[in-house]
Amino acid sequence: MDNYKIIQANSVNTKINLKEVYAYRSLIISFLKRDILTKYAQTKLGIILSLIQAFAAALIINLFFGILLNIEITNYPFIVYAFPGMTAWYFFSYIINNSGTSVTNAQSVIKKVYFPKLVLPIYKSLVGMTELLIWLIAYTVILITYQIPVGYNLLILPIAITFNFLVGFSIAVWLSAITVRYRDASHIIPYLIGFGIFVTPVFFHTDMFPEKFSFFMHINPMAGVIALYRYCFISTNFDLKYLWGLFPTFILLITGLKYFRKVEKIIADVI
Amino acid sequence: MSSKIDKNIALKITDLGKKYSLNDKLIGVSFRERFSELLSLSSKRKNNEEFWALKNINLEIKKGESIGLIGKNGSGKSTLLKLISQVITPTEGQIIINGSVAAVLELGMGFHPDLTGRENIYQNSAILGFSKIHINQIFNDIVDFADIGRFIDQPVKNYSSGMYQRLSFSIVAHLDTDIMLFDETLSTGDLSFQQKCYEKIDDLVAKGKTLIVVSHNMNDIIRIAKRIIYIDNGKIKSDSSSESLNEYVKDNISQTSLFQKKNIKNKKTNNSDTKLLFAESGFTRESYNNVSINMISISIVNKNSTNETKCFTNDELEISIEFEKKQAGTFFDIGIMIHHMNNMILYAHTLNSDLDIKEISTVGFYTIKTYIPAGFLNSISCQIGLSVSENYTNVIFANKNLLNINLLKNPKFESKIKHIQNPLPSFIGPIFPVWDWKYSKHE
Repeated sequence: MDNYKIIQANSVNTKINLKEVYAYRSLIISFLKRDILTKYAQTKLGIILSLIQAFAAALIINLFFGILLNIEITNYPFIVYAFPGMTAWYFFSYIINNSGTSVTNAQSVIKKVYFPKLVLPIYKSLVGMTELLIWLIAYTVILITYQIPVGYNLLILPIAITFNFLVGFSIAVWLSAITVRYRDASHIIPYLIGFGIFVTPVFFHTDMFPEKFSFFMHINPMAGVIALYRYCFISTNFDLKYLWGLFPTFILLITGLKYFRKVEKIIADVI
Repeated sequence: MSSKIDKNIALKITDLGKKYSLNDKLIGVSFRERFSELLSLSSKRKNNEEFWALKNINLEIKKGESIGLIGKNGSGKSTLLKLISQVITPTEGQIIINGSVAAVLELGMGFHPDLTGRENIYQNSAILGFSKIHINQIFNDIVDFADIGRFIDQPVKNYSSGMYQRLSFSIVAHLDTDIMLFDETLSTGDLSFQQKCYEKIDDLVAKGKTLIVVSHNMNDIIRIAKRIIYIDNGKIKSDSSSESLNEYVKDNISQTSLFQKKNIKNKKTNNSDTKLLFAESGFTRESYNNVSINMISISIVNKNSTNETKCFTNDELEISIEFEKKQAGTFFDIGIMIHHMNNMILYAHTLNSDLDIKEISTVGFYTIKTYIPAGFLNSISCQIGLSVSENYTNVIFANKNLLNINLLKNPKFESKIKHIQNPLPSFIGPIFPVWDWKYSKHE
């Protein structure tokens, strides 16, 4: 029954400890529930407000690009084409916005009790799932309105969501660790999102991108994510080159987890 | 590694140290500062000031022991608890923990005001690393103990502060961990709940849990801890109960030497002590001007020996009070209070209760004497205070800390009982009377 734990000073242990995070899964669930409860249940309009937000974005984009600029990319109405990209981008930006500051925002708990801090960006990213769900519901409504049938490609959707989540999470881990050391790092986040949307085919078609820069398009993981979503819903062809985006994602993820682990030790001291 | 450690040890700390850098430019700065620093190539970082919050801590705590940590604010007590609970990592040394740890460094830690009591119980336990299934089993016990009743499904922001504290204490007290750490989080709530807390803690100790308690409330510490450790300036200054307490009191309460005579005057009574102690006595400032009694001095002498620096528990101490009675026919009363550790009144007695003060009615200078009997107090530091009232109602002088005495165990007395195992711990309270025991042998 005796279980010994040895705390050693200066032990250089940057091994990513996912096992421990798994042991604390009930904490992730608990935090998740808390955030969802306080986000939606407390305000009567909670979910409706998010839905309205999604529809408003759809309306504005459709009005601006679809009707005023009269851009026609495919056979589909502009909003049917663009909305999956907007959804993916919104989920992505939600993750980095909220997880990026997850550690610094939880300082009162961090100073008082031990738990693997990785729990924080994980659960904050998972909270974004609810927003994603709401946007997908909005998209379903749009698809029904335009009477667009959905094929078996939809079975890929979980993969698209996982990919989307990992891209956001890998950056969120980095950001949440950096903000511990440099407080003003969180100011980068809006620029990251604001700039990123222009190099990612959210509103435009990948073919509109110059051929000689296509490598950068393929290596951009969010471009891959959006292409996957479109493949799911409206069966646009999926270029396998987009899977290159997995490499930067996994490199970011693993280095991020390592860096996070390194910073984790001093979090309670610095924060 | 683990085979080297005794099975009965719950916690073994070796050469533990925690260093903080007072102006470490490497952490907690902004990008902006970091860049400007790189550009100016300044060597500001060289003058890092170091601060050791803890240094060279060696400690072995057996299973089932209850430890009290005492010390000044900032002495490193909380740092030690944080190190044990892994909130922070040590700079040097190591800690070996045998068993699971739950630390209560703050009551209501992680409580979310918008969540209900029920939700917060699960949330709080999850932070401490417990699953929902485990909490389901003890959920009713937690709620019953906290006495929350039908408010359990209300958001905790609507709770009274007492309910809030009761709930958070209750959660921790019911979690099944081997080692429990409390940082000034004991004895909260009203009297009856405090009593419940004490009983719960006795219960935990009886179950073999290891407790480490930090408190500034000496009564708590004495009540709970079987072993008291005094930490001062990041080091363990004493590791035996009575010594820890005495050292702590000695270090923190200003000492006046034993035989000093202290001159006192009525006029000096206008201090905060007076108000604190006798808030309802109805004295006013004007009453000073026309008082019938003028206090002169208080002194204490050791009757048994001529030793000028020490007094032992088996010495009789004589307290003398000098005063001048300025008016005839008025009544007055003088009270002596003996305090232990600055807050606990050991006893108090007044002149009026022991002597007919009508005998002292004429004008003149008087000295009255009272005694602290030999073989009565334990080896403690205590303070002697004095209060004087006139016509039974007006308090004209009150000061609870006029003289300090530091009683020592007589080494001769100790040697007599040395070879017999004392059934009691060496320190079990401020009073340790030497009384007659009688025995009869049955045929």
